[in-house]
Amino acid sequence: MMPSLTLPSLIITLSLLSGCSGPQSILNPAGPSALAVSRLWWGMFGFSVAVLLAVMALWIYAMRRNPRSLTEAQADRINRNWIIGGGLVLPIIGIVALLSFGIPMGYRMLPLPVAGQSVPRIDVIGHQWWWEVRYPDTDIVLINELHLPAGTPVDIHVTSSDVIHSFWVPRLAGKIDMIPDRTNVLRIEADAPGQFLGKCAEFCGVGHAHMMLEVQVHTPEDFESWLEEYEYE
Amino acid sequence: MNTNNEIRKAGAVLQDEFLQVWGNPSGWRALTIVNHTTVGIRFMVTGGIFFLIGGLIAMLMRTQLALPEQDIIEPKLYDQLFTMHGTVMMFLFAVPVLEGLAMYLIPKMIGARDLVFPRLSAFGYWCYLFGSLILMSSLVLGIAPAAGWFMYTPLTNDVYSPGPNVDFWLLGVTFIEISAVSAGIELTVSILRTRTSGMALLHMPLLCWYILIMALMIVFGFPPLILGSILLELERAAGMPFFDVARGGDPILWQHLFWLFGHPEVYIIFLPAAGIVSTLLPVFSRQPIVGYRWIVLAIISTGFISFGLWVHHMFTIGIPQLAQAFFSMASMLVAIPTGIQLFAWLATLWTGRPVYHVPMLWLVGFLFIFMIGGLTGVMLALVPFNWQVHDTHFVVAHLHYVMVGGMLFPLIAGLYYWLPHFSGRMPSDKLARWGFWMTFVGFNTTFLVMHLTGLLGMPRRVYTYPAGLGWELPNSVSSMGGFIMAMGISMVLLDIVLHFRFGRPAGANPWQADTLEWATDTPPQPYNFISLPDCPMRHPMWDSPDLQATIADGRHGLSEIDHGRRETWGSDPVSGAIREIIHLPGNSWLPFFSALALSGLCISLLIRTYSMALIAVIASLVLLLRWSWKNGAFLEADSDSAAKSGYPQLHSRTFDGPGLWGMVVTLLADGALFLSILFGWLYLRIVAPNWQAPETVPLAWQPLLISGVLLTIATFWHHFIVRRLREGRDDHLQGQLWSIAAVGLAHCCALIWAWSSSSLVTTQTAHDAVIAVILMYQLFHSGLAVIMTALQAMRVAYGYVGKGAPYEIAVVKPWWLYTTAVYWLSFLTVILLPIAWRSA
Amino acid sequence: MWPREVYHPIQLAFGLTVWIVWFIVKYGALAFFCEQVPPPIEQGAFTWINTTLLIGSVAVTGLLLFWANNCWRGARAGNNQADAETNLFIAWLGAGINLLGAVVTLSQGLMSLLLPPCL
Repeated sequence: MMPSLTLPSLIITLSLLSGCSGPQSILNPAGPSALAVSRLWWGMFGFSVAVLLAVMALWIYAMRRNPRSLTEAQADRINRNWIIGGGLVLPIIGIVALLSFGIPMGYRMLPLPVAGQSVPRIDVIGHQWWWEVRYPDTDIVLINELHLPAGTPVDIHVTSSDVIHSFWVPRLAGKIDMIPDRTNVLRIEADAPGQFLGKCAEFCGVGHAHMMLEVQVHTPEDFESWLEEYEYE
Repeated sequence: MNTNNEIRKAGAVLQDEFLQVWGNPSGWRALTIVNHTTVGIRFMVTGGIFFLIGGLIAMLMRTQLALPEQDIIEPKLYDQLFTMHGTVMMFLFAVPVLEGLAMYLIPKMIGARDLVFPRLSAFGYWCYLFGSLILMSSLVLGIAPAAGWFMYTPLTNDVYSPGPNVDFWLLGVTFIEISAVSAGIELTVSILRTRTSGMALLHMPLLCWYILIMALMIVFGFPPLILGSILLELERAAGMPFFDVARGGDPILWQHLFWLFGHPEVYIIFLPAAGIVSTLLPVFSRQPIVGYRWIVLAIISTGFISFGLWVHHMFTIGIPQLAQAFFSMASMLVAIPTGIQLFAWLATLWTGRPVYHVPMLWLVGFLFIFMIGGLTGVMLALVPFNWQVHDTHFVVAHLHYVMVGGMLFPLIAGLYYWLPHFSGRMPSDKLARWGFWMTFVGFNTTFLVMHLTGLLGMPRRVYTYPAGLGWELPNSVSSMGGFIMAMGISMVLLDIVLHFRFGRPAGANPWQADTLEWATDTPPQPYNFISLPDCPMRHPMWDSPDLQATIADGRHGLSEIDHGRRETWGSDPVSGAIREIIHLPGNSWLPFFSALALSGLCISLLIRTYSMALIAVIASLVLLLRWSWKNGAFLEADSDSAAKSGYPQLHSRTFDGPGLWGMVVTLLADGALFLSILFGWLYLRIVAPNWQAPETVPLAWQPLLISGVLLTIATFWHHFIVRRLREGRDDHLQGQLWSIAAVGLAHCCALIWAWSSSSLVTTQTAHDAVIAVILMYQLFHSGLAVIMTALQAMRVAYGYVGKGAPYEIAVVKPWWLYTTAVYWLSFLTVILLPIAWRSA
Repeated sequence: MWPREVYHPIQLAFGLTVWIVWFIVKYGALAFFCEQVPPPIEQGAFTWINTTLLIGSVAVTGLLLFWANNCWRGARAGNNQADAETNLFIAWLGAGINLLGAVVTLSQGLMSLLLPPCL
């Protein structure tokens, strides 16, 4: 058993050490939604590894051990304990634990109204194979680039003009599909100014691999002046 | 001693006589074979070849992705490759191979001589083979489908995918699904109705439970996709809008129909594989499986729950969170039945005394890989996490852990386990171990790191990726692992090929297994058993180790063969008590030619030559009618069939034979299809963004009402004659059947009149298009009812059907009932509901 | 209440069929009412839709538990028919299927307490 496990685990450890910080990495969050998910991941990862190792160890031990002879009643009791403990109790505890984190987290990601604040809106329209970005109330139309203010939630209203695409900036938040004649809303927020990458996540034809979006996050002041400047031009 | 020898000699004579009736022809006539052993092996070998092709496609993709910004494979081809990889592995490998294994094993495990509809098995195989060849030819021609195996609209409609690529998928896969559904129906009826004497539900080998639930899941799960494919093909070829949002359709409807099939599909593949585990582990643990009842509970609940979680493939399309939470919850709760099985297996090992053979290695590999797949599956069921990793390589890794771990590893374990059964020889231990370790290490190297690739943000279905995003190393590692795994698989293959030549003879029951399939010869004869034993127990081979010899000597039931019929027991679905003798049809050209005619239809629809399609339809209709005309050999089934005292009747003399069960299970599948249509109708009505319904109902209600009344009269009349037959009266039977057919025909005419006088424009709105589909569906069923009844009238005239052999008329009855139910249900939802809706 | 016969093979499918039918009704009703008369977002989870769904789920759970209990008693009591062993097997499975149906129904139903219906 062991030699087979060492190689992949070595590789994955090495890559983990080197690689979490990629520019499109879910594990390198730069916004509250992405941060929550990345924490969730590490929690689930730890729990899963523990369950996996425990079950594998039990299984291998069960195969190697030399059982003393049991009466039928003893064997029945042992067997029932395994099935009820492992098959019912363990999954139910796991599910309850997981949902008690997951449901409130999902709730916080919803585009709910924020008290005392109007959430700015940006429209993004998917095309084969480019992004059209519109700022309502202004005449600004951008192609393949999106400008955001840092530190404030923004609602991205997405739709598509042809096939289904999916809007995704991994370091900021999860993805939302862009579907013709429907508008979906994704609440997105960046912690600090910087450059991020977005990518179409739903297969949309030959150009799918190259359908990328540049996301530029400004400080709120810079964002305001960018808006004014751009409109002036 | 002497008497024993005499019995042996009598056994040898019996064997010759059985082979005369059951033997398989060679040469060209081998195409006529309907025997389940041969058909099962054909399914498995063909599926194995498609597995290698699918693997080769995967190797090409891994080569392209090994380094960033490579252009070995251009995107156009790459899109075809990933579409075909998924399609081949799902439809051409996983389902057919498992069905083949089930077809091969089930009759042997339940002590039957063949599956209950042998010609349907052969027909299913030919449909599968021809459909697969049509689909694969598109890859050779460079016009393979290129929109992903999930075929999302609008990418797959005629605007964004012109050309025949998508049509190959829709028509080819639908054609292949005929084989899946027919196998599902046949396996269900076989397991329920042909178990050997005394094998009650609670004595069935666990694999039979797994296959029973798998078969029922196919029956309910495949129709939504069949419907979806038909609708999409109608949209592409005939311009009827179902998924076109501008004309009142909705692309999301496709996603619902696809995943309504797609998620159960995963469990359709996993359940038989888990069944292999549940069969092998107790044999190698030298004790009965722990928690038989618990495992049955787990199998049934997996089957049900898997139909309630399809939306977890659609968490990012903007469905309300509360609805998502329902599906998230159901997805997680599947962990309970899976956990029950895992820990029942663990307990079996814990209290048993395990021995080590090669299949056990694959089982341990299965556990490790499948556990990881299951755990990441629970993660993916959590909505916020799903929003991040959906459509990334994390999901690719997850699904390969589930599929390869949950299907391929147990399958290879089973292959090694039943290899001595197929060939009579044992595999080599050394080569087998090498094959396992290479595959295991290669697989994990490929896919364990792929989780990370996905977490680093690499989406699925991209033909290349830029450097500098941290994806280079994990992708190279995955590609290397892929090639190691390919070497491992080829080693397994080599081992299997070599064992036919060099393997040592296996002898009887080499693993000391407990189930009946080891009581046949190895390799088995086409008839499996010369005599059919009583089996009111779970472990017949452990309880009576000399069973193989006593069966071969003809010391059990139904060992008479001088009548020249292929026979097996028909038994009670619950208790397994014998109810009748089922008389099975023999070899026939009809399945082969029917499948050929249908593939002609498939090809002519592909190249849109509708005159040729019409010819193919007529040819298939003629062949299928001929098939039902040569229904069994009741002509030769002489009146003294129940000669031996204590034997029950032939099934053709009863009202409740396997044909009726086959009809009812077929109608369950048909009902699933109809409910999918109704779902589509209501869904579009409620959700489609641009739904347009006319002010008034476009069909006049008077002709519809007349038509419905006529249909109801025909159905009641048919019901009435069946009741009279039960009372033993068949006076004026032929005339009544003709009259029923005539009333049915009048109903069809009234329906056509209603349609032709309506204001439906099928290419304009989804509203009209769906109504047209419902009308077509109704006409198809009504027309078939008329044809079947007319056919019965003719058979009465020939004396094939009547008081003495009432069976066939009873089989047609549920079809009339179903057709009527569908009619009034459609009337309710299409005519009355919108009126109520508007007035509300 | 039907099915009264706890030894009938229908028990192998009954409990989870009830669940899946209720699930379809619930999912359909949610889609329908969110499309036709969506309650205001500000109400959060405490809307009439959620309340109705929750009450329905609890009722269905109660029924399923009742049936599970029936089957369980049947499985414990045994009967004197010839097929006693098969009957007990079916009743035991029936209890399990009904109970699992209840667990799934209730756990899905409880989601109505946590999330707004239409967002």
